[in-house]
Amino acid sequence: MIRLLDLNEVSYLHSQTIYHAVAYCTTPASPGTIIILRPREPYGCVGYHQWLEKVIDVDYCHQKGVPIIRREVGGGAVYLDSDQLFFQCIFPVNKAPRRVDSLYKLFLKPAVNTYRRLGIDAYYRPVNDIQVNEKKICGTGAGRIEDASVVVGNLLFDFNYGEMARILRVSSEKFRDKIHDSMQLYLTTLRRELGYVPDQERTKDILIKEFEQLLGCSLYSDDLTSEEQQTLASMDKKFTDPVWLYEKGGKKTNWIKISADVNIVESTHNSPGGPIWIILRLKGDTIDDIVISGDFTIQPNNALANLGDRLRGQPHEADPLLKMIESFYKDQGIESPGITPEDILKAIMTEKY
Amino acid sequence: MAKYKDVEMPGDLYYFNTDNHVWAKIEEDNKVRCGIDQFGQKAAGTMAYVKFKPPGGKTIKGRPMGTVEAGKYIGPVRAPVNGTILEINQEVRDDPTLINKDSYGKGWIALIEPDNLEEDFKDLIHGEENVQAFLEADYKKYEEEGLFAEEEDK
Repeated sequence: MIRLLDLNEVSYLHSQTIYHAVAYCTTPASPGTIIILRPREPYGCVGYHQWLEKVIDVDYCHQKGVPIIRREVGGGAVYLDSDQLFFQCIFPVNKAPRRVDSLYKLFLKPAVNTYRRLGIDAYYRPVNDIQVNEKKICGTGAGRIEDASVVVGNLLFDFNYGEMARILRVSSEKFRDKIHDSMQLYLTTLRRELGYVPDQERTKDILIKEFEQLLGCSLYSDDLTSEEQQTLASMDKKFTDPVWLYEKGGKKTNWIKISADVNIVESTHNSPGGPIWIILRLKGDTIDDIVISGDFTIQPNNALANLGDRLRGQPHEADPLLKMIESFYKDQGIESPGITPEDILKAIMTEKY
Repeated sequence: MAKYKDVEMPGDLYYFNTDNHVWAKIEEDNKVRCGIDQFGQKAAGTMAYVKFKPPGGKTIKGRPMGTVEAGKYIGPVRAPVNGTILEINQEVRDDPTLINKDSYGKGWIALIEPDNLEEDFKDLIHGEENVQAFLEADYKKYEEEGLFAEEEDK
């Protein structure tokens, strides 16, 4: 038997702490639990391994009254609100797939099928994505919390692209604009795909039926146990504790992940002729978009824009790129005192992904 | 060196048979250096993030002393001994893929001052023959159940 906690709308805090509480109370003998809910208020949410102050513009969030939470599952920074229907799957480790991609594939299947039943040609993309025409249409995260395997995700009825870009801590406003543009290209929603927002209650009913189909049994409606309620109180306290929220650490990376294989970064390379600034978007290992600028002299005036055009669609590999830049310099008669093709290559390859 | 297919596990190390496959080495002054072995990193996939208790933090054998993240999945790294963390590998913190690339060298994770080395090492797997048997048995089981991460992940 599998439990269903159909919680409708809850506070932003409970939209995260409830599934953590259920996970902490899970034992090998526990039934699996599916939680479905929406947050009443919008908020920013970072992954367990992220250093909050490095990824979120905390000052902006405080000024706008946007709360921030750090969760105990993986993934990156996201903006969450009531236009997203959350599903949270908590199962004893011994009752869930052990391999990570199998875990995602299993528990994302109901969401994939729900989208399809609404008329969208969605598909599961390994390891942890749901896509439509190579665009992401679901946020996901997973982890092991004590004796529970946890997979969380959301159905995107609509999405506030502007606010998502705004809450991020970025190196320049130009980079923020590029992040926003990249999300517009590679992140989609039910509204965009259908031209309207389907009824949320009906969508939820479809999702529940799809979970029942997947798990081969009816889900029985339940409430939090008294132990879970107690644990919830401690999770609420923990997740609002600044010591937890602002814990330092995490991998040092300037890359922002847009979807499964789309990532964007801004970097600077200091060369003898001046700094070279790059905004680079990779799709897989290919340069999907690139903006080259800097504080140096280069002739002709449109050289950098033209070089960007030449590099788009090329593999992000040092040797072929250097040959291409050298060839461009020669073909176009480029003059850039103190800036060589090698400097431009270094700027493009500065940030390893 | 125990070897099976694409995984090597040095026989002079000790192995904690836990969900992540942790290796442990006794160093000078009986300190314990540990990390995730080649088998563990193969099962997990490309490491994206790591986080460990800081120096001074206590470890409890079998309980998480830190976490790793691969494919947006967070998993625990279980301590092979009871003790106190002396040092965490900052290089791995900055580049978690060292765990994949050099599991027994640059990919070490923590140096621990054990509370009771002899007692805690009693059930760790050690010695060429024992490690070979352990490796083959677990590898075959993982293959049968399809538990290794896809190579594309790396």
